[in-house]
Amino acid sequence: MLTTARILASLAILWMLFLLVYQLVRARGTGRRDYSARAGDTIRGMLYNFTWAMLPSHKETVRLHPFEFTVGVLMHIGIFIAIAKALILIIVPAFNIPISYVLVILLGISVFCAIWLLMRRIISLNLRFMSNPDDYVSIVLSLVFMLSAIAQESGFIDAGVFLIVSAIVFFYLPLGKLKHALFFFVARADYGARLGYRGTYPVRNGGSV
Amino acid sequence: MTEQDRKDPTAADDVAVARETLLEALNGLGAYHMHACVKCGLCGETCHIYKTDPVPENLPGYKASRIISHFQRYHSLLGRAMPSLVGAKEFTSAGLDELVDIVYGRCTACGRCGINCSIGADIGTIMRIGRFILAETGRVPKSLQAVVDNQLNTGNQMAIKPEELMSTAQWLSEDLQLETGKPDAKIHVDEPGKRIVYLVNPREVKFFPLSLSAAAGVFHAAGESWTMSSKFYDVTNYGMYSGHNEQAAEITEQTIEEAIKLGAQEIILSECGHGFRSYRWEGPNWMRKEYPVPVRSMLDLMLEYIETGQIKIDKAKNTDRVTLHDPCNLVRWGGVVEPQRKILRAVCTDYVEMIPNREQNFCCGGGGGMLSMSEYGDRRVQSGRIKAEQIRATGAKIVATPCHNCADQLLELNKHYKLGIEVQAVCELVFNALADSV
Repeated sequence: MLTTARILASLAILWMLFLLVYQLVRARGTGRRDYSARAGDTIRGMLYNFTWAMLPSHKETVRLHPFEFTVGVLMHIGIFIAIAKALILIIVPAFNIPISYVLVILLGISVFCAIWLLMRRIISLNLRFMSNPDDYVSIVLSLVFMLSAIAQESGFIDAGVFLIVSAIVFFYLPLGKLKHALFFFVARADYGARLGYRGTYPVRNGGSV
Repeated sequence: MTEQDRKDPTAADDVAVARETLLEALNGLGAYHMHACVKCGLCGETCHIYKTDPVPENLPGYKASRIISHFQRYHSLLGRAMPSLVGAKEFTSAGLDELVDIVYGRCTACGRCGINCSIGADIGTIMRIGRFILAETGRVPKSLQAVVDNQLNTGNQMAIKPEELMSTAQWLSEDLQLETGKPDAKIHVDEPGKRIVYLVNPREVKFFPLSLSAAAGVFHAAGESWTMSSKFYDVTNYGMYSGHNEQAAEITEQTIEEAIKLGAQEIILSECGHGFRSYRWEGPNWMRKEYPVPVRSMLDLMLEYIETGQIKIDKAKNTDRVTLHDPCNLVRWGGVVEPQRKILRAVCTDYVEMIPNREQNFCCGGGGGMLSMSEYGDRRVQSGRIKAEQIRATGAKIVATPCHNCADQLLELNKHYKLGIEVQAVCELVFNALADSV
């Protein structure tokens, strides 16, 4: 079963990569030449948008919602662990992670965060108002992914089962909103570069000075 | 598309034009951001409209999601295969009609939500794509389109005739000569071969002449070689607000061509947020060509005059407390952040910042063409409450703003929220601080 699951997960990863690249190329389209005269530095703008711009001192959403932001970050840590775990099992199935209890604790925290985010989306009028089924499916899938990673790490399920769950996640990732796994970086880079070109980024003094 | 089609489109036309425009707008512009939004809902408090009327319809994420739903339908795999799963929606005439209130009436495209987006999605650009689509399908609010038509038909948004401009320039020149005691101080119009062609907001000619004469006074003090055109001098471009890029390009082109005809070596833009963004950043892209001469803001030029000693300043002439309102299109979208601050520190004894400021400033509520759309007047004044509270907290007597559009809104906020302030352009404060020897 493990071999079959490894093949399935590998195929799902190939599918995910192909679709993400395909969507990226389509999103770029024929591209855009900027005819205006440059005033700033696109690279510095981009770097700023991935660094200082994400700190509470520069980003109001983080400053006003530290709890939600922290919960979001913690959930993503769990997802990255689960992805890493899936990749390791595909490449080196016999690999034994010596500090598995640490992973279980981290994944457990992430699971609680994911449950909280799911509840928030169900309870909050604002979030319900703008949510569609994909918004719920994506978070439930992430939750199941992390739970199966915990179960496998704790010996409750086989590695094969975990890899089948992983395959489902990888298959769905480029289709729904989970594709922000790629487009978070692309959008942030594009926005930073454009505002860098105009000289708005990097921000030197910060807007609350 | 002909004018007739625009006025009376069939449902099939609507859908075809909307799809085509969406596709055109996506190229390297909006698609990344439409793929990226996760609807986390944290953007609410970044929006002045949501903060003053916290209903879900005003959430930036929701407003963007209405446009993203169409993107999903035509440009995402799941949106095409299982639209209900991702909330993907076909374009329909009724749906486009509904979008008008969201895109023009509930968003000034100020971009504050994008700067603060947890993901980094440029929501302002997504909303602008909504305006492109509505403009191409003939749904620009009539009051806004009337301003664009004025610009296309007469060369300026207020349909001021050249003779009216000439007469205003003449009496302003006479006043300026009296005030400065310099007989050669004047508003130069249609004088070819001058180094600078100066573009102004027609509201300066009609309602804020002090701002125009202050700029003329500063130019005179600096010994500048400058002129205006009597035909195409309008720094504004309401095509940017309506979302009709072809019309915006036409407005830009006629003005740039006129400046070149006059022999400009540089075009200087009067204090105007969206005018700066239009001419400095969007114009070349609408026209798909580079300008033959540089374009700069009057703020940059005034700062240069001050820093090089070309004009002498006596800041003791401006002793009232002054604060600064940052126009979104000049600062966030335009990158002109510090010159106005350096100028105000140089010409005023008591300058204080609003909080938040710079790229984090709140829109005054009058952006996005809101001031011309009377149907959203109440909402505009209501959404200006955030700005009014910011101003009150500074204790300032004068609010300087390098934008006549913002100035109009601030004047209304002053009245509505009883702020007891004066609203001035930055050049008025500079002119007032010119040392007597000038």
